[in-house]
Amino acid sequence: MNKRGLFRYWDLLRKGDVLFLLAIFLIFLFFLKESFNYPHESRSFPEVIILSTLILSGILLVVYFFFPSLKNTIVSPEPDGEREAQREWKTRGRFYRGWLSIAISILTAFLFGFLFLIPASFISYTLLLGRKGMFLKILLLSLATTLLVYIVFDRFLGIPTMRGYLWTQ
Amino acid sequence: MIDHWNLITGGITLAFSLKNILVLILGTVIGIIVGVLPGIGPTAGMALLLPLTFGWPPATALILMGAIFFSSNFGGSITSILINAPGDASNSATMMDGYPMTENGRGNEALGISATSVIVGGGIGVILLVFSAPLIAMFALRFGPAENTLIAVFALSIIAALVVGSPFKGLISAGMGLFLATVGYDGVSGNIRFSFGIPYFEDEIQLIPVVVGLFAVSQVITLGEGGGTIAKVGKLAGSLIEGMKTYFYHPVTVLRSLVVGIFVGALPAAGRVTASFMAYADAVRSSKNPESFGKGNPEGVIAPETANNSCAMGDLIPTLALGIPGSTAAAVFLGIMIMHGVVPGPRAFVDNGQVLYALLTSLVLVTLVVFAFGISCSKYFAKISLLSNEIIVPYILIFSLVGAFAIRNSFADVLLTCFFGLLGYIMNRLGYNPVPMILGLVLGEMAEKNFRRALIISEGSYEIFYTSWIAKILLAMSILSVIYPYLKLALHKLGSGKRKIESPS
Repeated sequence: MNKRGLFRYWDLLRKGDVLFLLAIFLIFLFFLKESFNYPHESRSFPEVIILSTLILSGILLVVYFFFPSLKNTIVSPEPDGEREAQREWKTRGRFYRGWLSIAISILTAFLFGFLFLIPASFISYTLLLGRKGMFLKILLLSLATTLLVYIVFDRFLGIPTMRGYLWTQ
Repeated sequence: MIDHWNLITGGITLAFSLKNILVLILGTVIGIIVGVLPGIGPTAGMALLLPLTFGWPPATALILMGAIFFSSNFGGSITSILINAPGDASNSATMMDGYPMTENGRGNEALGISATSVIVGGGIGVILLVFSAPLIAMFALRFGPAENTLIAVFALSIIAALVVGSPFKGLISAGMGLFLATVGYDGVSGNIRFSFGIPYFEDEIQLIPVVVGLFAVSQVITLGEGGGTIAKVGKLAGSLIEGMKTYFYHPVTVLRSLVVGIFVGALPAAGRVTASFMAYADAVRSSKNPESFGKGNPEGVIAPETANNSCAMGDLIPTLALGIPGSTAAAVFLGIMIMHGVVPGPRAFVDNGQVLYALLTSLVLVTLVVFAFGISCSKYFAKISLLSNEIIVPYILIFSLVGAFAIRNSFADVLLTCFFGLLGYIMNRLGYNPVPMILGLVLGEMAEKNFRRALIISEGSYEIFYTSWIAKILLAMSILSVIYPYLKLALHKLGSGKRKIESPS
């Protein structure tokens, strides 16, 4: 169904590509305003970059909103046969669970030290996204890896892997 | 008159002493290990082992450092190819086709290509280094600030337009990277920019959290969504020998990449990242099937790896001949040379000829050791791609985050890595390739310094950017690379229009 007027713009705003471009445009507009606070010699180069990015993202936004028929030619100027579709978004559940696993791992590292990131990431990933039948194998592997990382990073390279917010060695 | 032949033979004899051979093997193994670990890289690897070399003879110390400097590249390519996480930023270009090759079950073949490129790119690179150092250094001196700025512009435009396929999206991505390079302390005027009062942003944004986030952390989510294994085909079809054969089936790509690597390496501050991306872009541009790049085209591994390895040698041209390092790692190497009493410059080969020829001989030997290691051990590494994601994904996350943390022992770097992980995921989904962003961040500082120097020289006039013939050529090539995809489309439409007229049915 061909929507017209404001409804079409509303639909466009719900598209990830347009939202991303709009975000870039607004953020760079903010950076441009911020650059006015700096002396001329410090802001000349960033301003060239910011203005170029604003112009490029602005052109794309104009094309998306007002000249949709030109979108394919401007955005990906490939002959039709060579044009590749954007990658499909996979199931949202696995996406959120993936980030939850990363968040758990980072929180553990922050609280207890980097060494604890290893069992946390193995266990959280297996429980949230993996096969539960592999849990014991994964647990053993995570312990062996923890020991190896401790020897290489902490003992050999001197990186403090056991220093966290709650607990310092 | 100095007897160069005596210096060369003396250097070769020195390199072949038992102690130096053992140090060379040790340095090579350490180099491969630090290359595999994201965040460590050759710079940190050399810095970590520097205290060990105090009291060593200069030749032995430089051989150890040279071996780390050169072999880390192969280590970085292993992770780029197998798990899409570059050990070093210079391996980023290898990921674009190396990882798809692994997904297609050709990880072994890609590793074989990488190992062969070490011996070819590095070996030929070092031979050319010996003979061409003075000539290339002289030509590189013709590049003033304006030309150096335009080198960055050309590198970004060619990557954005040709590699990514969408000039607008590629240039926006490059703009984001260039902007990131301006955040923090302004090295020229001393002002702090775009930190918004946050102390963390007063320092410059480190490359490793950005690279690791954009490629490795985003990969964690992508793999998590899919499940299974990295290799989608269930078995490894290609072999290392096949990789070697594939490498030699593309002599033109090899030669072009060698030239790019040596030339970019010889330019001060351009570095391996630029060389590998430029060689990749050149391979795409000159290919009859440019659309096959990014999907596992072996030439997409041959070009960046050959350029990368030859550039590592090229890096040493301005370092040895002029005392101007070609990259961060070369800068550390330069410091170590001076620390051991080997002062670079036009008289380097006169004052320390024997030590430098021993170093160059050792670098040839390093290529052999890396090749032997690659051929004998890579097949075991390639099996990583058959491990289930329950095992491999946490490993990617662990090494990415530990690597980000290891740079400055800062948790903020870890959070930044995760931010760029999310950004990389979104960009990939929306068709924005993060590669120009990385290149923008790498070249940003050099581009800005030269941009400002050029304007100071010209008293604020932009004419300086199109006055010299080198600047004109670089500018023309930059514009051409951006409009090339549109020209190609127009020609394609013209061609299909003609065909329709010829056969109206």
